[in-house]
Amino acid sequence: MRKLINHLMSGYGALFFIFLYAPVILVVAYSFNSNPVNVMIWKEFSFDWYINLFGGETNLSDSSAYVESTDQLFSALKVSLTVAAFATVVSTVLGTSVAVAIARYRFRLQGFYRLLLMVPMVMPDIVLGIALLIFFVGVGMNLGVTSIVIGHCTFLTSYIFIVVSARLAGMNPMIESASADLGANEWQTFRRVTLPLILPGVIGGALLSFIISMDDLVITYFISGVDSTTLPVFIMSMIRRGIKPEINAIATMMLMASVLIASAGIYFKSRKA
Amino acid sequence: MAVSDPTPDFLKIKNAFRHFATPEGGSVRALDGINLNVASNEFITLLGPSGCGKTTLLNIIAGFERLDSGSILLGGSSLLELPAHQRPVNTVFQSYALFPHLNIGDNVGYGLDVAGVAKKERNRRVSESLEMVGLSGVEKRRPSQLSGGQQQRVALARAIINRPKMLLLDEPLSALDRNLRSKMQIELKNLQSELGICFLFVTHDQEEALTMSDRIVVLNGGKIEQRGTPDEIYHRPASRFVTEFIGESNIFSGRVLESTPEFSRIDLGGAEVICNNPTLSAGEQVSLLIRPEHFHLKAADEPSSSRGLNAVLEQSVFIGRDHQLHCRMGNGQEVSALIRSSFKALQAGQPLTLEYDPAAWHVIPERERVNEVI
Repeated sequence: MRKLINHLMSGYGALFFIFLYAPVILVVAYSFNSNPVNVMIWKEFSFDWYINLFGGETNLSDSSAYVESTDQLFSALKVSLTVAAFATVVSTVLGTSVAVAIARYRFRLQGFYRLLLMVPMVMPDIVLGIALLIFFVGVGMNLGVTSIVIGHCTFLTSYIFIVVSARLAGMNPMIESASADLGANEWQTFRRVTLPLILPGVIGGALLSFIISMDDLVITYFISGVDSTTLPVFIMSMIRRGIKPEINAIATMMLMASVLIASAGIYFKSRKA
Repeated sequence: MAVSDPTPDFLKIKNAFRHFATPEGGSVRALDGINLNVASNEFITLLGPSGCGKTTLLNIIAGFERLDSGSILLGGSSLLELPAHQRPVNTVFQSYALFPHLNIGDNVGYGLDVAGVAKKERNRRVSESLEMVGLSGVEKRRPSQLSGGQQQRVALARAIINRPKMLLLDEPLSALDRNLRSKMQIELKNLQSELGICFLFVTHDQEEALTMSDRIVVLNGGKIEQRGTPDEIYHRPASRFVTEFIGESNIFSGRVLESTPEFSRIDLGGAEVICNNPTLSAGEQVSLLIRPEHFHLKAADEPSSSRGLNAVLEQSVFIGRDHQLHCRMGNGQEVSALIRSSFKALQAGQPLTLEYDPAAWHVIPERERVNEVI
């Protein structure tokens, strides 16, 4: 009986992870399927879709591919990387400063500010997207890379704030007192003690923010202009015309990049000082 | 480091008040009118139970907390206007608060690094400082690689490297085991005389305070209960609180029956004691204190004397060299005595006469609490 229950439990565990990962594994597997007509019918193994994406010569007919030019894909990727880089730098600086301020100083409405910083995390993306669109149009700002960077900063700052706050909360505040006691002013204490100790959190938060920015579709969809299509928005527009193995190849590459960066982020975030 | 002539009133604390708001909306007086002068070469201990205000006072001197009202002068100039990083005092923290991301050399040299001291001079003083605390050659190790006792020494070396005018120590030995603690107590005392600066030591451990201090300040509820040398605090406690806090003692309440210039007779309610304390008046209510080690047992063949308490032995506990005797007097009061162990076994239920020297009694008149003793 005991043995049976154990078997059932293991079976449940296996099913659970199949449920979580089967779709992703299928996407990866079928990105190597050479069947140009039906994605879900396995024909034979090939790298054609990857080669095709990078503009290489394949024996696929032009009609089976979506990407009219590799340039289009790369320009979307370039926009995404630019946005992610700027949004990450700005929100890391803002999020870290506000986390230090709220953790180390006492002022009025402190708890309220903390709450306000959490709210963008739970705000529905569609609401934030519409709100940002109305705001940008209202102030007469052209939609483009700048508007996307600003939009991403609104929620990435919260993310950095939470990660860095957790790091600060785990720090013995006496360490900063000791620094002051030994003659360091507030800036010296921040640079020599506080920053090195929270740096793993800051780097981890920045890497995770980078991925979230790269991946964001809903908010970006509202606030991207004609000439500033990001990779997720570009893929979305491709999907509208049906699912082809090419998309599997793009998805697989995005997945690899995300897993790599996220692992680095988690490694830094949890690293001991 | 040269030892200069001591200044008697180097640190002057006048009318220091500090209160904290409690979460329930009330207010706690952490410092309730503290007046204290400390000499420039003194080892002074703030002793008291948790919440007595001792750590608050230390934090205010260090600059981590502010004072509601009052003044603190160090070497004649006010400390309160200076931010923590400009005060000529350094602190050894209870949690050591070493910088976990820096190695030992950089921890100890931190104060010199932020001051921009030249590399050569800095390295020389780092090794000098580590040598003074008996911990040479660990510059390249990390704090996490050292034992608690070694981390304690690093914290000490780091605090003295700036050559402070005063060193503040916040229960620095409380995390160490007993043997190491007694060793460090002696080393701290030696370090203090070597440096010739004032050590302000905060502890709740009365044994520690008695071992190291030149002078002890007993705090309770934000007020000074008593200040004095360890000997004065132990043998002539100024209040019942100090008596109960310092060491083990028997405390009785009594009424003065007769007082002459030579002795007083005091009624404990069913028992009488004779003590040397000429300042009493007949009829006065007093607290009487006698330490357990000041009793001795009368041998059976000696003539009985009036200077003894009759009691029945309830329990005898062997604690090494001595026996701790728990007895009960005829009026029901408990009395404990510390008697040198002998080969003669004592039986529970056995009547005893606990003899004393009349000079061993310390009598505290039950008037107002004595705050300003010295």
